[in-house]
Order: sequence, then C-alpha cells, then structure tokens
Amino acid sequence: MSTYTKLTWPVQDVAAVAALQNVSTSGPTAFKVLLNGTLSDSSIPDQVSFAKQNMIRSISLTSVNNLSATNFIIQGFQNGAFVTETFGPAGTSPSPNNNTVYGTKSYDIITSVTTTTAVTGIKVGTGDRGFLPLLMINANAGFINYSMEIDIPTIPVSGINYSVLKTLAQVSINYTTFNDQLTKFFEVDPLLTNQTVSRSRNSIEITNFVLLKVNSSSSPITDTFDFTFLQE
Amino acid sequence: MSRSLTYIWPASNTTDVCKSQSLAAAGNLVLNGNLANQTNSAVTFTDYGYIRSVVIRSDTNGAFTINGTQNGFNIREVMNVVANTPLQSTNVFDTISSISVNGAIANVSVGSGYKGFFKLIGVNLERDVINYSLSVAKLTEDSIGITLHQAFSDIEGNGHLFSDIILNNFNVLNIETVTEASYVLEIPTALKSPLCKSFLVQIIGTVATAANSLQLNFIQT
Repeated sequence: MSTYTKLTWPVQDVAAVAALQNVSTSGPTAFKVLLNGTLSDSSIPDQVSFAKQNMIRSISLTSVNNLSATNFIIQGFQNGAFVTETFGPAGTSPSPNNNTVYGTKSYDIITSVTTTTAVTGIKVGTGDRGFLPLLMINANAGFINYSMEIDIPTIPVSGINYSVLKTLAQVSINYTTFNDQLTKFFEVDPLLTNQTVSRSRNSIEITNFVLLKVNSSSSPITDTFDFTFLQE
Repeated sequence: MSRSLTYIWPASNTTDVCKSQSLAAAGNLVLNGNLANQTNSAVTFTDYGYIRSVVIRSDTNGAFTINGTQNGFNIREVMNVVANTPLQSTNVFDTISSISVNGAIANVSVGSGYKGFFKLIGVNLERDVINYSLSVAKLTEDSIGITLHQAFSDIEGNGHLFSDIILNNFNVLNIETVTEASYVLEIPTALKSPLCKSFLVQIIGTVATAANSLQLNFIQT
C-alpha cells in the first residue's frame, strides 16, 4: 500500500488572522485584536488555525501607521505546546511602522492577539517561515522506500529557502514545539538542506517522521511551492 | 512489525543513588536516592536506559566500597573520597547493590556520574529485510561526546564489562567517535554492512558535560 501526500505552502496572506481593524482601550474587546481574518472559522470562534490549512507558520503584522510604540502579544499553540511572542518595545521583533513585520515563532493555532495601547489600522497575517505538517513514515512497510519532490515556480523568482528533515524520535504532539526540538532532526539529504530550487530525492533510510522546514522567504507575498511525498 | 527504542541520558544528579546522609560509624549507606527501588536495596541504572558511573561527595574524608554489576560481571570498587571533593567512580554500573564506608561520615551523597553507555541495542536479525537507523541527539544546548560501537558476537550478559570488551576489541568495532560540543549523529547507510548483532553507544562525559542530556532513538523495520 503506497502513501501519496501533496502539500502546498501558500503565498502570504497579510490578513489571514485578523482583517484590517482598530483596537480600542474600552469595552468588551478592549486591547483585543479580533481574530476575523480570512482563515477564521465562525464555527470555532476566538482562534485561527494554520494547521487546518496544512501549514505551521509564523505570523506577520501589517499597518500603514506607525505602531512602533505598541506591544502586540501573540498567543497560540504548536505541537501541543503553548507559544507566545511579543512584537514592539518589550519584544524581540518590532511592531509595524508603515510596513509588514514578521515573527520568528511558528503556530498551529493562534488563540489571541492583544495590544498594550489603542491601535489604528492593524492586520495580522501569515509569516515568512514555518513548517509543513509532520509526515509519518510507514515503518511497517517491508522495504523502506520514499521519494520527496519540492516544486518551486520559476516565475516570479522565488525567495524560499527550505530544508527537509527527518527524525527517529517521537516528536508528534509531545508538547514541545518543532523549533524547540530541532536537535532531534537530521538532514534527509544534503541536496534537501537549505535549498532554494526545486529538488527530487529518494531515500531507503528508515525513519519515524519527515518534516519540511521553511527556513526563510524573502518574497513571502509571492513565494509558494508544492511538496510531494510518495512512500512505496 | 517495526521496532522503536528511545533512551534518554539525563543530566547528572547528585542524589540519584543516595540522598544526603551521615553515619556515626562504619556501615552501609541507605540507597534512598531518586533512582532507588522501593525497598532502598538497589539502584538499577539499566531500568532507565543507561549504564553509568557514580559520583560521591561528602563533608568528611572516607573510603567507600561500591558493590554492583555490569553486564553480568560483579564489580567491587573502592573510592577514597576527600572532603568536599566530588569523586567519580572508575567503573560504570548496571546495578548498584550496596555502598559501605569505613568509618563515620558526614553529609555524604551519591549521584549519577558523567560517563557510561546507553543500554545495548540489539538488532533483530530474524527479518526478511534488515533495515534500521540509530540516532543520538542532544537535548540541551551543549552536548556530550560519544563513541558508537557495533558488536558482531552476542555480548549481552556475557560476564565481561563493556569497557573491557571495547578495550580488548572482543568482536566490537568502533564505528564513529563524535566529540564536538554540539552535534547530531546518524549511521550512514554504508555502515549497515556487514550486519551486526548489536550497537553500543558509549558516553564520554566529564564534569564539564554533567548538565547535558542526550536522546538515543533506534528504529528497525
């Protein structure tokens, strides 16, 4: 029984988590950014799932205004672990100032975005790095044989940098983010490590999981690729 | 049906074997450490996936005798501990069955050491297709040096210390030594031939790596 999986890293959507909005300092939504972006699901309020879209991804903040004095606190989960990140003076990434800024942490689900001041004109969207979902190797196959193909469009010029990793460890939903357990992952092939072009490789090495990591994307608004996995 | 093994080498702990205790005269320490069994009669490191040295520390000088086993061999080691100076055993142990001291001793504790082995990894050769992978990954920012050995004869429980088997090259081949402070390791495909009976991962820790931790994973189809 063969296994065929095709995953796509979508182009950036700067309003995937929260549509353009203002944040007030009073009322029931004081200091809260409403999670009403294009990936929001009215049947599951107060959260936005990247995982449902088959991606584990960082976020972006976009504004035409100067919000650099405001702290934005992002909360969510990745691989069962709680993740939080602060943009702004108290954080590790700046808040937007007539631009789009990117976070460094990746999320399966965003559960809240809050601010420390009133804000005018903020959008929250997908970021420029992350992972595709963990793929489990069928170790019960009599003979281990799997192929991986990454197809990157040539027009427009892509800014994607990716690595395909593998691990023998049990890393699925172990309450540790993928970023916090990267030492357990090994490269699948040197030609699938820190790559910027399309590749196709095969392996007969038994492993437990395969994970595609998007290390960076210099043009996230247009960067996309397909990852195809086929196990015999 | 595939096989999957995971073992953790945790950071050294000063009270894994004996919590701090004092004796008014010569006698046995109580094996009441974090890893002791329910009757405080033994500490079996292999229950936790490793074979390990011990470190003794006390407020006063003392001569300690450690009795234990490793790979079916009975070990007796005497350690002359100087006050306030942690001393690591020369041997590594599967099980520690007793620790005695030759006189009064103040505030002695016995912990897990810096060196040893992961449990022996046996390869199931009764398969139509033999395919396996082994990895050792650091779980802390810094790592511990290791040496990976493969054995072609059945060395488990054969009455020889693993350290002697390696030293005397009893059908054991040193595959790879990795000493960098930060690394990941995997057996390359080429090293899977010829097939072997088992893998032995030696941990070459020092006091400088006492706080570091490793994880071993092995999968066989």
